Amino acid sequence: MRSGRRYGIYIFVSMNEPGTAPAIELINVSKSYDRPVLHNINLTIPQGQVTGYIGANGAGKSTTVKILTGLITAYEGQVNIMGKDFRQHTQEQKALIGYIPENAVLYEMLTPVEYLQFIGGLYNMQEAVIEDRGRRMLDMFGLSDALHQRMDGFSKGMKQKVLITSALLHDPQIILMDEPLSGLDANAVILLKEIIGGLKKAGKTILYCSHIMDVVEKVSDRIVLIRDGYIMADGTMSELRAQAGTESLEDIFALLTGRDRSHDHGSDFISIFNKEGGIK
Amino acid sequence: MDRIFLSLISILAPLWRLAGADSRQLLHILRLKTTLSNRAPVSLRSGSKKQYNFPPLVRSLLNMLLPALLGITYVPMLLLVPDKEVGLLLVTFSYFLFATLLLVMTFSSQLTDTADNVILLPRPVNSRTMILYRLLFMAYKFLASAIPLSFAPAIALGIRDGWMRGLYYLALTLPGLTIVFAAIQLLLIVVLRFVSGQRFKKLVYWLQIIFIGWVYLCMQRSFLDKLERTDLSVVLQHTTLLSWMPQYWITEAWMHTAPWWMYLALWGGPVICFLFIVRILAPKFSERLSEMGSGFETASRSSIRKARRATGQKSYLLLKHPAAKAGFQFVRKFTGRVTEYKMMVLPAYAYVIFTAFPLLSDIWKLLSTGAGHIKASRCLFPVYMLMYPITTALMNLKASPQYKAAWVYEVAPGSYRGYVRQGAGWGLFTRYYIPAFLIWSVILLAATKGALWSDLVLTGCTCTAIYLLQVLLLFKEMPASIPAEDLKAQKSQRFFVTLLIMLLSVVAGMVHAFLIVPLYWWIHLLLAAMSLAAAWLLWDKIARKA
Repeated sequence: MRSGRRYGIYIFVSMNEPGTAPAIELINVSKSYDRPVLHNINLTIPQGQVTGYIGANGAGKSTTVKILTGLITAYEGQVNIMGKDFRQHTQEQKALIGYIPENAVLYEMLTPVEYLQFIGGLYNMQEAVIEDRGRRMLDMFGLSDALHQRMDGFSKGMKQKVLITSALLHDPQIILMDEPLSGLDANAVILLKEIIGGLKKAGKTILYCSHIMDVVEKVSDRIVLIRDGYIMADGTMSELRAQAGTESLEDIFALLTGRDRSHDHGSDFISIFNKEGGIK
Repeated sequence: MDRIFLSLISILAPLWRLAGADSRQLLHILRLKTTLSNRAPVSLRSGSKKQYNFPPLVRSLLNMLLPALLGITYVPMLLLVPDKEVGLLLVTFSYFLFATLLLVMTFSSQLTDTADNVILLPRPVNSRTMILYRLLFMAYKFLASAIPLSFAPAIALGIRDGWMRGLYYLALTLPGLTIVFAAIQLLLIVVLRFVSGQRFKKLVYWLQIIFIGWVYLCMQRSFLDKLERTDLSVVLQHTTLLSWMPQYWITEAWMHTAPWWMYLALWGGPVICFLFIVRILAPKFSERLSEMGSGFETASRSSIRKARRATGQKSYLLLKHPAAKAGFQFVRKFTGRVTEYKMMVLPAYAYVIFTAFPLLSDIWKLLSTGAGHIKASRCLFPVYMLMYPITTALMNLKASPQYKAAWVYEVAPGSYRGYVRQGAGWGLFTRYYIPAFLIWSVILLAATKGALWSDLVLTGCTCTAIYLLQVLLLFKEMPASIPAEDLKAQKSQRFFVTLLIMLLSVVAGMVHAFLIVPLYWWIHLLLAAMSLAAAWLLWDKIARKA
């Protein structure tokens, strides 16, 4: 956390809740590919909290989520889920997690119902339960007419809706969302925001990664901002506002990611096409 | 077939549990995999939008047809060699060599397929189940392709020695092939334990190259030629390695002369390999698999350097239009950097060498002895067979998701698209045909002291014309303009189109070998000029076809 000082600015507000074991706990987690992507990340997310996890492209958001889902197993440090070491209890804890990835990867030769039957089967769910839950959830997303159509003809948004359904099917305690709004239409976005609210009321823990600041601002209890693999800010929206001295999350984001908002980048961009340097 | 396979998996559930896998999840995943495999659409004709969804039985029979026909080539060996045991050993050895080739070239990339990592890895599926489902599904697909190769020899044995003997041979090939499969997977997974995921992909790529060389040396220098002319006991005295090979165990078991340990090795070997992989190597394998599915693959400095050299090539200068140059540049960079693509194309060279082996042996003898008469017509044939790698490269380029994602064709203005296609086609030809053609030409010219020069000119011109015809016919639509569903359907089309183009090349090769070789050199040059004129017309037509 303190490593955020290398940029000269950071905001930190402690969010640890005493008593219950935190839903997610990252202790000195680091990850490198050809270059370091995460640097000693320390993050504790209590149960029942919706945490907005924001950062620019390549900041390390998706890598963090992939570590938490088991998609990346080679990392340094320790990850605890519900107080237990993720490396030691991987299968048990994966059953507690629901993951909505950024890209809609699913078996497109299957129908939504078949896909949900398969995913539910991996969680040892009863077929009747899968069928009932799946139908009701897909119905909410307006896919009731496409239940038995193969997904290779689906749009990106339709696939994303099936993905969201499959991630929530087994009633997970922790939900990891990596750009879940990708490809969704306006109605589905509203619905998903309502679903997040409902899940929060039901005591679920949500880690919400996104670039869309206004949605993050609306749904999150707490915001964590990551830059170049370092956590730069961590607190509630009002705390971040007070400390940064700005109103919107966009401004805080710009401030902490070093973007100069006073300058008109639009004009600069257009000037690329104009040899004289001005706008035609 | 699928039902039998899944029933077998279900029956053997205690064994999977013993290995540490979740047998219920294993069956669940394998059921899904067979369903997906059965739903891949099949189009019988290139360009046809009509897709066929054959019932599983018809699909299985169609898949068996080609290997079963290939298996007929082993029958003469069985019938012509007077010693039964030697004949059977020769057949089994050739058969297993081809099966191993199929395994290394076609199936090695499936072991580390990360396409569904995002679906399966976040679910509570343990590493042992993950590795076991891969191995079992690959084994099923491999055996379904390799066992039909033994149908013809088994029938021949049945006719000669009685049907039970034929069936017994068929039954023996099952554990034999399984042991080869398990041993190669064990080797790959052990290698994967010591190298990173990305490095492993490159290693498999090099393994394929090494294997091509090994196939040739094995065929040339091994005990196969000794077997043709000597008694088996004499060969065994000189080649103790033979007694450690499953081909020999099968032959001995069929002759009822195998000691007990050979039966034990045949049936117990695969089980031990599978158990070792699943019990010991599975956790590390899963870790490596997750590495391969995440992060990014950085282009190596050498590949970037090579790609830069593309503009310095003489062949690049043939392209005048900027759009053609862009198409050429892109294909050269793409084919130089995308390992998955290279792994799909490279095996084609191995198949050429494998098929051309009897012809290559003449060259070897000539070069090693420095004397003798070379059968020119036979040695020209592999040059025509080099059309197979270039056809594979072209068809796989069209189907490559990375190439589709690049949108090279779509961004070009309408009238320029033909030029993009021309440049892209030429880029492939300069990478996958011309170097191989030049190497083979140098060997042939050295071996024949220049006697074949006019034939080689003719071959080069004819193959260029055939290739450009292929570009004109098959590159009508570039990937980005083809809907994803059609692109999937083309996977099966590729097989039929490749077959047709190969047939055209084989016919051209045969006409050249049997009718044209004896003619005067100036007739060769005249025909070459005609081929070149056809190539020029096609070249121009490709550029103008928007």
